[in-house]
Amino acid sequence: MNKALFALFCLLLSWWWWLSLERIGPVASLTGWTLTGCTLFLAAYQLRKWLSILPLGSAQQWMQLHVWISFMAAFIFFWHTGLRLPDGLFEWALYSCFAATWMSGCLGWIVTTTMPRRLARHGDVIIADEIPVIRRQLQLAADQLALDSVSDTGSTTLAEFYQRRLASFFGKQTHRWVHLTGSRRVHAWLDQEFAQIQRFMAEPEWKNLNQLRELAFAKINTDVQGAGTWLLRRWLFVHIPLTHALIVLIGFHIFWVYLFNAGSI
Amino acid sequence: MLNLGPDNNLEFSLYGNALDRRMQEKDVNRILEMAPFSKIDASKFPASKSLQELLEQDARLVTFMPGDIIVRRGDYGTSAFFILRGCVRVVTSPEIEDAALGHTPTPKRTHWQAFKQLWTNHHEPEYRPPFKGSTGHLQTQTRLASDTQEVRAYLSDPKSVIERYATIPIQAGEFFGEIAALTRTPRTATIFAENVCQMIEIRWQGLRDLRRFSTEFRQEIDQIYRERSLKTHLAESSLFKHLDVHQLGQLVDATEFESYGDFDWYPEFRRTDAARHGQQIAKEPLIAQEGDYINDLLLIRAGFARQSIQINEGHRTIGYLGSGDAFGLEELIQSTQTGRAIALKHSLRAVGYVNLLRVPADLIQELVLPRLPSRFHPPKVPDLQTTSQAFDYVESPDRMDEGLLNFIVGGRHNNGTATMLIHLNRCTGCDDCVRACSRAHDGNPRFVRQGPRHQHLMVASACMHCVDPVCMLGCPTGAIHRKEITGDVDINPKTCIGCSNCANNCPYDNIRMVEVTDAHGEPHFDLDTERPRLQATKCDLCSDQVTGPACQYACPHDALKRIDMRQTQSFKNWLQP
Amino acid sequence: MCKPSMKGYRFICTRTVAFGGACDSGPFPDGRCSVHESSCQPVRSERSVRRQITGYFVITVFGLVLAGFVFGFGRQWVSPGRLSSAHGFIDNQCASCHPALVEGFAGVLRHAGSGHMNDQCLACHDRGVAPTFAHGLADAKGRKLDCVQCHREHRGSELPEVARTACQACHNRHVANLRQHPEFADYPASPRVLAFDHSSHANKHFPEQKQTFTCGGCHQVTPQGSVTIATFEESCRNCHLADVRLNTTAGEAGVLVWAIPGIDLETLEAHGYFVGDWPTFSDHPLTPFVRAYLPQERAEDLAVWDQLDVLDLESADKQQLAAVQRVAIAVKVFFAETARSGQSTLGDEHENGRLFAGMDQATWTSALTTWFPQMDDEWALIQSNQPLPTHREPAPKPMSKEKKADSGGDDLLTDDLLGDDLLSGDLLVGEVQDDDLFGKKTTPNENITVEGSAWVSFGGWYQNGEGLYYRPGDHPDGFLSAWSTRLELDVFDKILSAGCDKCHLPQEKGPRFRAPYSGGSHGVFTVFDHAAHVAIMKCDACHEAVTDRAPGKSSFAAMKLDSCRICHGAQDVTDDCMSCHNYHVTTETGSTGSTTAIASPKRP
Repeated sequence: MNKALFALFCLLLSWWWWLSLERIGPVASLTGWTLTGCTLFLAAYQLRKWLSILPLGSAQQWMQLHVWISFMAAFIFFWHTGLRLPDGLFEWALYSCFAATWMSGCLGWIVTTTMPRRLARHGDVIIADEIPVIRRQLQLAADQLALDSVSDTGSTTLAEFYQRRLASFFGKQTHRWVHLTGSRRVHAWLDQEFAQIQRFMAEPEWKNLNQLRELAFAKINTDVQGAGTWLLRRWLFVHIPLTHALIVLIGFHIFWVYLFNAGSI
Repeated sequence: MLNLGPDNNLEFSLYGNALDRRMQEKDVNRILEMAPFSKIDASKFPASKSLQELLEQDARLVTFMPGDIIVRRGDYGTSAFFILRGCVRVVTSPEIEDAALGHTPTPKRTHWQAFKQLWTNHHEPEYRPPFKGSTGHLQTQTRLASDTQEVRAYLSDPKSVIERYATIPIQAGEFFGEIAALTRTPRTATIFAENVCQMIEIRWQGLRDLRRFSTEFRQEIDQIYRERSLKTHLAESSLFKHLDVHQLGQLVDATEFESYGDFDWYPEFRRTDAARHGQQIAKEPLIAQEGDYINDLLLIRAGFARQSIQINEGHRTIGYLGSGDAFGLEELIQSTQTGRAIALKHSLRAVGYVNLLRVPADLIQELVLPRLPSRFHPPKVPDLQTTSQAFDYVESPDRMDEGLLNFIVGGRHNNGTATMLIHLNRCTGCDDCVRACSRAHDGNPRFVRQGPRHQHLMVASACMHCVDPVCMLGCPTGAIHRKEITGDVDINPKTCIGCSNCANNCPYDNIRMVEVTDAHGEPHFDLDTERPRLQATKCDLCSDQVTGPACQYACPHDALKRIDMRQTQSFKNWLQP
Repeated sequence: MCKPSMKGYRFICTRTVAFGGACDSGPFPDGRCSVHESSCQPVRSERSVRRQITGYFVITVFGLVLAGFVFGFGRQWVSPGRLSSAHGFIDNQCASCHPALVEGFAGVLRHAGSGHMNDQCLACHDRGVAPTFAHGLADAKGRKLDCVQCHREHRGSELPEVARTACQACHNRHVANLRQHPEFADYPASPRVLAFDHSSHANKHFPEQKQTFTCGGCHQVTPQGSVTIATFEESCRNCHLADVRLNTTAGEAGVLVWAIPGIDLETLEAHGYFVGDWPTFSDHPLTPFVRAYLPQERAEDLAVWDQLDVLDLESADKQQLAAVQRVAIAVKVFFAETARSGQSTLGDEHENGRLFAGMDQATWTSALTTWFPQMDDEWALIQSNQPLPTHREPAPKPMSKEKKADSGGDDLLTDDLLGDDLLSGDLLVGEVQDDDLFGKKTTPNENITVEGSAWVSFGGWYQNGEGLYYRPGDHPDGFLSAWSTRLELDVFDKILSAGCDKCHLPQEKGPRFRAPYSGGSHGVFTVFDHAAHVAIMKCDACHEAVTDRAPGKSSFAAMKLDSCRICHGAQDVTDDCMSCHNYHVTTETGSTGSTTAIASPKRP
């Protein structure tokens, strides 16, 4: 199916190429309209999601086309602009809006293709809505464990360790950007913390310490999942508003260009 | 031989401990005086379960009013009936089915109708139109049975049904429904009461035990089975397609049928920790032992069986067999070719419950193998003399990963024909699937994007449209039914009375009971009980949508797919990371 | 959801087990549910927030842009790019090219589509009479093109080059560069102007004259890149002056210009069509020169004349005979009138000066007297529109005996040549002035024995019999040049077959005499800078002289594209269309290529 789709795509591309050879003089209007068409098609992906109940082709095929056409659009964009930077403020707005939309899409594409694998590999995948719940559960469990450890062992070492070093860590989503880079710095930090405190503990206390360690690493997983899902969802907060703004700007651009078309005013 | 399952003393059991607690000793005695039961030799029964006790536990007397639907074509039933008094009618005319049985076919929407959903979907959750009383001789209605207090569907005008449709009467003194009960196969015809009928209903456990301890009873039942069904079953198998009528008759006469494991596998399965499913291999009822010499070809009729080989002390899963698969064919072919007896290379165990046919090996070698087209030959299994050979065989790359197999078989996911699988390496959690599902179902999503996992595979909580749909056992109105063409399991909201039987039966918790509301978001109340009306909801595979399953259609990353677990190759292809 | 139900005298809770079972407190006595449901306080979902952000963002962008167009109007806002340096003086003054901008945004909307950028370009740039047609040529195909279709502005300080592919839009799209260019099938072009054979001159004629043949001997490359051809005087005169003077050995030397056509006078007069005196021995045709001076109203008669064999009018009907008569009289009138009034009566000064090439009155009148001795009488009849009399043989003049004896051999020869017809004519007309045939009578001084043609061997007029002949003296010759444009090409070619066509090839059209094609730097559609090329290569790298050439074909072999491809397309030398071809073609002035004529720069 995807092969057929790709063949169709190539056919369209070559037809378009042929058209561009037929032109007299500059191909700005051809590339411009093609670029407009590409942008509208790319934006129509959102519409397709809204019309999920109509047989307009599966979302997967749309996604494929979305990626291919966006790369084609970048190529045509450079053709259209002639690799020059714009001059007027409006042209700057259009130029940067396209670039930002394209780059945010590219980022999104990379994120959506790599992040799920990373998250699945790191530990249990948690759906976004459950993350705060699980974080809260872990925090309560850790609080309880710290309290219990005082009555269990008579020593306040673990409780103090928890209070001083880990309470804020358990309290909220932390290290979002560290996790997004894939760094294991937080893991190393926790390992170190636990290794240090273990030296000050008697053996009976180790059981509680190990439980706390498990909770802490479960919290890290929650953070990693939280950071991943945050990015997986939030990149669209950039991409989609930019897309809509881009369409508005393109509309103005076309209007303006046709006013001045061949110096008609 | 019948394998006795664990005692059925389970709280989730459909009927509780006894089929009917109102069953009295006098009733049992009355039954025992009657024709087929009077012939049974009670002395053959063990002291722990005498014939008297058996009947008290597993049988009951029921009365059906004229028009009551006793069994419905396509339903899965667990009991057989013996008519004491009155007459029932077997509907042979096909036209009656859909309309009369609540299996209203849902036509595909047109494109416009599909588009209209964008603005015609209701804002209130679980909207249902007002429930109307039905009219017309074909409409099913439900009423409470006076004796058992069960809800029954009935035809309002059985006489006109008899006039209009072809029916065959079954008179007092005859059995019906025993084959579906024993073999766990769909009922082949609809039967309703023509007049007031009194019957003995025997559930499958009782039937099994009667057949086990009473030679006379078994002969009678087996005879009926051979006459009514066996020939068809054998003829359906691709292995016997090339045989003529006479040869097929020879096979029918020699074939035995058997059941293994427990019909009611699902209540226990639900209680078992998923992690321990894999350890249960050794506990599963053994059907054939690796290393034994082969006497019969085993044809799976219903249920699932695990193929395994033993390495040291452990059993390693090689695959699973389902309805229509044959076991021992490869060994038989080798034996024929080499001229010496070949031992079985795999063990076969019942997963849950298995119903199978035993066809004697010599008949297979004589009648079937000589002209069997080579495309039906199973893949060759190498000799597994040494442990390392066995390891190589188990872990060869073209086999499915053993851990995955154990996950699938252990979690009974192989039951699904449209299991919703999510590839966690691709799923971005965008919820497009849920939103699409919701849009296709009047604003109510019909699945939960969460479920058991194995590595990067997640089985989401959506109806799998099982090969063995245990949800359908005990639906009083036939609202939950299997579509004849596609095999999808569907619930008809017009006839669902919200009894929750199906939801309780589903081993995977994929049926949800919901309070249904009217256009203002107020619940519909049941006129009798004044309680909010419940209805069972589940994935209907978007059978009325033009797009097919909306969830799969809406997934941009090929992360969600509805997969028929019997198609292992497409499953493996999709599973590639 | 719960709807308490009345059981007996009290309400009970009916909530199902599936939803938590009956509540502990139960319903109020009046049947209301005791559980108070706090009203729902929805929180925006992520998607809803996203929609909100999108909406605000789009509205903001829309508003800002609209405001920018309407209020913050100016180059900083809308500039689509800086102007080229050539137009730099109007940068920042958008209205000089977009006049509607004077009125701002509103003006833009009001005047949309009202003007055309071509008008703005052509206000300064002169591009000929059909500037918007393809190549500036308003020919039948007439495809129109706007300036901006090739010339883009607002692209920074350098006016960008015309796209390489621009030509292919109309022309064969498979030729995008020199590699795909079709071979020069027949280039240098035919037809040729001169019959100059480079090969034979190099190998035969120059060695015979002990001269060395070099390209530079005749051709110079100008700094502009064109190639000159040396004039006749510079290169050809040494050997070819004799050819110019028509020093031919066969037939008459020179060109028969003014002559009395021979007619079948006997038949004419037999039918009563009299033309007066007529030199009966003339057998000349009506020369195109005479014909050119016959009055316009004789055109029909001349057509009849052309169809007839005027030397034998036996089969002609009366109307034809009348036409012949009228033409003959017109010829007579031409000669007589010119003799009486001089050249000026025949046309304007400039024209006739060259067409008569210094013809003197003595020659003319002397000839006329010889041909029409009764002219004075007849002139009076012509003036008074009276019919002319019959032909009368002039009274024989006394002749010297020596002369007769001298010319005796000639007489014999003539007799032999003319045969019976002439003899029978003699019989009819009686005395025959034999000597007139050779024009010896025209020589006034009998001691002068040189013939007229020889006497004017450096050019000039001489009379022989019923004709006045012209011999060119030098090259170029004003008389023949003047007549070459006056007469039809094929008519003139017949005249030139006397000897000029040794070098001057017949032409399909245009002037008969013209400068040979030279290797210009600017052809009509092509540009070739010889200067740049001869600096690095020899002439014969491209121009290969051939020995066997078809008449009218170039004496060079067709040029081979491979000799161009050695550099173009390889070695970083451009090979696109515009490196050899012109788009802008202006045939009149030859102003082509990159030079841009600016008529009058209007500064706003």
